[in-house]
Amino acid sequence: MNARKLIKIKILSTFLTILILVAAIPLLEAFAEEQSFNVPDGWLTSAEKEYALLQSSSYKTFGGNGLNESESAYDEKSDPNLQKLKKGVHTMMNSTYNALDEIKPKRNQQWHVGSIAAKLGVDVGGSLGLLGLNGASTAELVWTRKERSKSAGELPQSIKETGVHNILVTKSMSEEDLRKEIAPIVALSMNNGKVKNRFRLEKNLLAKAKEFHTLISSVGANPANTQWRFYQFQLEVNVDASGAVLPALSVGAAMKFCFQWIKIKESDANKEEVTKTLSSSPSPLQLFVENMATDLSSYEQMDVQDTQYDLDFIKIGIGIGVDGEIFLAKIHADVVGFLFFKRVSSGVSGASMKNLITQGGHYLLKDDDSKANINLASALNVPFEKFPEMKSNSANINNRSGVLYKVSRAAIRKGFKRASRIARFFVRATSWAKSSNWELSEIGVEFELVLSGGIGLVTLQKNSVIELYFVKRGA
Amino acid sequence: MKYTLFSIVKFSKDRRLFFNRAIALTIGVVLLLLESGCFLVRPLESLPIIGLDSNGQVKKYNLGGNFRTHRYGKLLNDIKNQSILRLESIKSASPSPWHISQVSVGLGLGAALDLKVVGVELESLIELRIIKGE
Repeated sequence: MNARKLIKIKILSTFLTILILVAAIPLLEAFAEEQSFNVPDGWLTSAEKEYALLQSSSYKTFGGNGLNESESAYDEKSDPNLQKLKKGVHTMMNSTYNALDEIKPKRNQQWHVGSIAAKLGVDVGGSLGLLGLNGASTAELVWTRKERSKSAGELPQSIKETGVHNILVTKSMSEEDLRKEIAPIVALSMNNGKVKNRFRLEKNLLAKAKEFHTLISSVGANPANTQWRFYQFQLEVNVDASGAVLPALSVGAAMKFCFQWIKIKESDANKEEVTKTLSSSPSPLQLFVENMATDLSSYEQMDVQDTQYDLDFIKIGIGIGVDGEIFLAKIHADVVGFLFFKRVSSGVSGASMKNLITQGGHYLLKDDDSKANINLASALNVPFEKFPEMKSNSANINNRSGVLYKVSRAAIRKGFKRASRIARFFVRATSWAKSSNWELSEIGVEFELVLSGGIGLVTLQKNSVIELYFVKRGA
Repeated sequence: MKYTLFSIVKFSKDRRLFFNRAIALTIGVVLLLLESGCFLVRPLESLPIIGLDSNGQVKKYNLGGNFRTHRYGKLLNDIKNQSILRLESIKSASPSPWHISQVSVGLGLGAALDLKVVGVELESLIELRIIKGE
């Protein structure tokens, strides 16, 4: 074989090697772990879906609100789609950590990054991603720097307590006390130039503070035999540049205020007060709180034992009707405040729990009068009535049209069960990824509700009604 | 790979043949690196972004890829440094019972998929919570 031929063979073999390498790329990719960014279709809910399910033969199997009765025994490890999604979330978290690890702390500075927050969003098709544009969030994540979070006395920043000016209100406050509490906030608003009309701002904030005070005064002690207790009430108030109050969760507010009432401890005075109240007739808010605390107690365990997270609190968005009735607010603009429930350590015995969960009754859910809602309500015999017109100009009462649906407590309890299962998945999936510098300290998962009691993840266009917040143990 | 750079240099008398082999070898090495990059990086790096645009339409991006996430991290670090620099320069004009204890900086995606400061609650991809104290 002459030298020229040998050279040709060698060149040919080199190109052949290159071709094999190119061809091998897709093959190697095939070995890569399969991942997905799509949540299961069954985790999203709507009146249309619930109605379609109702019409299908599988309705009885799924227990009436899309919830399979055997879900408590459901094992997500055996579901290949959930495993792919878990890997997708893991990838997303790892990528986020790669970016966060570039944030380097500097010494000798008074200011430092205490925590970092981001949100996840899901579209109606089920695609999951980091929320980077407009839209409602499905989950909220807060990371704290590892060495900072271990330092004494520093607590993780609560997800919802930023960007608003808190006004603390107690039951014993007089009108003068409320005025004093508001005064520095008004001064701050005027100083930063965001609000122009001081008189109007002061008048409107005081009116809201008085309404809020009246509302919280009607709440007594928590029910004695429940695992959950109502401990905080937040009323959000948005104000425009003229000092006028806008509907809650409005876009374009000049200033955002939050009236906050925190129950520090169950005093004897409170207990006496509620006994008196209950002997006559409990206020709508008291009744709502009692029912919700009881229904939340129908689940003994919502922790995620294999991670290091505990369900810390549950946040529920409410609206207030013309006659003071409390409803679960589904429409964005109807939300006037949030009730916070926290689990107390003392448990309830199994026997009393059985009594609790067989109680009847209903919650009011305000939603629109779409054909899908009316069809579903009619099919399920859910009573409903048109939301009455507004009687006063009070900003506390919403004048938007809608329908009040009476959703059975039993259906809501089933919904909670589903919500806790979905939330657990997110906690496991997001906490799977690790970083040497950052740790995930809080995870909030948000849910929407339909009138059948069906609960699903909030999609970009929707509004959350119930939020479950998990906090890392010892954080 | 069969040929080392040494063997090419040592045994190639024909200059044209030397360059042919060198180019082939370079392409091979680059492809090998890409291949290993695809294999190693792809499953670990992917950052889908989702949200509604101003018309209410769903928009999706993917900021994945090792280099891009590091680039975002560097941008985050730059914005953090700038924010802290400004905060450190604030001096109280007069004694007051009020002081700023936390500043939240909302960062969203710019038109060129870079990071820009936005409102905390609207269109913020990530929120830096900068606090005062040790």
